[in-house]
Amino acid sequence: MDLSYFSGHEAEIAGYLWEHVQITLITLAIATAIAVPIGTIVARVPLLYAPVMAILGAIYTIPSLALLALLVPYFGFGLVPAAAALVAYAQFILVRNVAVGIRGVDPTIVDAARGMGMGSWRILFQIEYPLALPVILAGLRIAAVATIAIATVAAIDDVPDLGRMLFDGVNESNPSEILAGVIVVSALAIVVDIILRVVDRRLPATRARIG
Amino acid sequence: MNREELWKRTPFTRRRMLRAGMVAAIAISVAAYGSTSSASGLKASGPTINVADKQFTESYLVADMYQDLLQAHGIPTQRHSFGTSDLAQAAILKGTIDLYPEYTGTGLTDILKLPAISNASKAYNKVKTLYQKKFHLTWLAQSPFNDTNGVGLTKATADKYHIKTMSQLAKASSNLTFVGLAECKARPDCLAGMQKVYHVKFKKFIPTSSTAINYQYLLSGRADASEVFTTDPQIAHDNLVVPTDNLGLFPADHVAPVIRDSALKAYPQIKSILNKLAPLLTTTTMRQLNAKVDIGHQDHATVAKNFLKSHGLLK
Amino acid sequence: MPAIAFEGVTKVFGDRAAREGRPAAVRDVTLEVEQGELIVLLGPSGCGKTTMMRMVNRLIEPTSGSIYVDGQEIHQVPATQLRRHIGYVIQQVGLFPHMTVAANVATVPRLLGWDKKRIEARVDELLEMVALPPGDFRKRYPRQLSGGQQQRVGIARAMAADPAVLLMDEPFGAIDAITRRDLQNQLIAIQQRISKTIIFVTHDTEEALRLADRIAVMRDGQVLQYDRPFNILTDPANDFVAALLNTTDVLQILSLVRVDTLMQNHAPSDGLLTIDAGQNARTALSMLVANGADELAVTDHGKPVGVITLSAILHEAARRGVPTEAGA
Repeated sequence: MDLSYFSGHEAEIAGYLWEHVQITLITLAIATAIAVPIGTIVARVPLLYAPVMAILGAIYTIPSLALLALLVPYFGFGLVPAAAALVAYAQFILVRNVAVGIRGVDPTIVDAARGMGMGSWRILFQIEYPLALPVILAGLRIAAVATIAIATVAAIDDVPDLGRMLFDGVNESNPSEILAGVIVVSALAIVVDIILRVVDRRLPATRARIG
Repeated sequence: MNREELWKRTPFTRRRMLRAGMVAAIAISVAAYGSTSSASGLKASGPTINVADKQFTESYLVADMYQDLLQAHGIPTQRHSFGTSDLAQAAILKGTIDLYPEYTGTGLTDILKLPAISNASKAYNKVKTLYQKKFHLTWLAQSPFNDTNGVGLTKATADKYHIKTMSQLAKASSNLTFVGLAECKARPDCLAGMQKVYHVKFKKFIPTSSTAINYQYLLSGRADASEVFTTDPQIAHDNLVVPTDNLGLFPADHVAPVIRDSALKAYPQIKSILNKLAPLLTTTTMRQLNAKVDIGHQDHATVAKNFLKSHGLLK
Repeated sequence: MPAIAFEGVTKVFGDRAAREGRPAAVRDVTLEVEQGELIVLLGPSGCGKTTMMRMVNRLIEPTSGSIYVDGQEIHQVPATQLRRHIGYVIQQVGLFPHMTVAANVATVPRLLGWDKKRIEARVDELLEMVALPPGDFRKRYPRQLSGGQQQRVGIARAMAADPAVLLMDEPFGAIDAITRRDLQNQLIAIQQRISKTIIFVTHDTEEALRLADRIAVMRDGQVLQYDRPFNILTDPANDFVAALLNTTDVLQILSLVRVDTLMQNHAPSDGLLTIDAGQNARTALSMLVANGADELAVTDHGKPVGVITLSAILHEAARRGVPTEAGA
């Protein structure tokens, strides 16, 4: 394992890593903010599930290069269209998990809540979302890892993230750089996955289920 | 407040705190993003010139030189980077970037979708005229080095079959295996063109996915000839022979700065600044500089700066 | 004023188009529940008893007719507000698994904006009432409780805001027979202490007879008979009611007859087995048969107040029972 690229390039790698972290955070925040309402609506109206998932699935299959090119007239270049594309891809995973999570909430619990005089919004935020959260978070974990991976492609669109190390390594025939890039991307994905697992363990719904 | 009490708060409050934390993290990210992207400039006055590269060694080196020279003359710059010609072209048309190094051959075939021209000045003039008319983009002076397709042979193979020109290669081709990028097979400036113009009949064509692999095949002897680009560092480094293109098949592909008319108007001095650089980039020079980065693993920004310093263009 | 009043209440499920020609789940029911009464809606699956109950707190909206709680038609206030003043207990319990027992019980008081101290005190009070020591159970999560314990929390939760009315939909249906009896006893004890108005739905005849002040026997959306258990057993309205409640089982009738209504008011002889005055005649009969005795001493709070004889019980049974043909 040729780890020689790490010495002497610490600042460069740190820069790419920070860019990668930023684009991932921004993407996941926006993607979640969009997916939760969509997933909630889809959960409430079962008829919408199939068509919505079909559309999101179709978007997911658009190759990232093509999608970035498509977004140029609307978002230009750089971080914004890259994040927009990543947000679009993440919907396929997140919306499904939001819908499944909410639908997985025991309907008798919701019935009890209604019968006790809780209004619909209160039930949604105090009962359904907390109970759906483990499933939603599992979706977020998957979406996070996928985003970190796909975000490497953004390097070709003026986003100086870890993907640059992979592309440069290939172009300059520098296997050490490629390896370094792969290691850092993987490490980032692993760290994010671990963090989200820890968060999951702390959720009220999870603690109530398994202590 | 200890952790137990903290967790006893209503779920609503906890979620609000989580949300607030996330918003803060994103806000910091976005704010920091703005500041990390700008280049360190000298005294900035006037509009910033956005310089781009196309994410390969040669392009990095030339774009670095453009940027260094502009900065040295007090023009503020910011650097961008695009992995494909299409993106770079779209960016310069949109105004996201103002200047980047482009190749006359690429401009003709990939952007203007016209047939390639092997005569260097003819190619340059055509692309310069059309770019001005269609895109309001100016081509400044081109450099002597030609980064175009070619065939590479080890000295041993070249000597064995007495190959100095492409026609001589064609005569010996039935004894030779040829390795190249998969796309080479059908390209008029690669295998398909070689078959048409030189009547090559290689024993076997091995398609690959990267130039690195091509060189591996060539140097290990698994292939006798390889698709090469004429400024590849391996040619100098491994003492390879590139037969002359006697029938003028391979397109002229010389680099020149392509700049938006509006940017040139803002800083007319850019023309003279970059035209001073142009003649210095010869084929030999480019092969050497590429070798320093690809094989010597030196940092391209440093290599570019040292080159400019050694030629007195930078202090 | 009755606590709950149904006036010509009908429910047909489905939208207007679907309703054409469809049988009603509840058909033109008029019925009153007095304050502090525990009435049982009894009937087979599909008779409309659950639908009836769920119309009181508007989880199901009536198709026609009116329902009054404490004199006010239930559509005069928003549904959520109505529900916060009606206790609701369901068979599956429906405890919120991500909240502690204390948080569960505190749900409606929190909705009503009680202050923290008042809520805390109330939670402790209720957990005591359902025999779950607060110190032990406040911080537990539902998954850590047995089925019976969970339903006790469910009852505590339903009573938290001290509603005048409780709706209970087969609350002990999912619980084992032994624990069920225990919970029934607890409910009886609670009811004796604080007299809530309760609508209790069940298909279990024995449970109905044990708990009800009055039973509404339902079938196909209609109330066939609405009376005290004893009256239904001794005078069923039709064959269906008779069969459902097994009215020919005279021992069952005896179980509704208090010992002190059959006793003779003279001092008992020495050496007799004793039975409390509040016990029922079936239990007395059982004791007499098991011990081969003719009479038992009746006590009230431990003091002898009379004597009950085997012949008195048999006489009562003969009086109430339905004679069967010889050889049947």
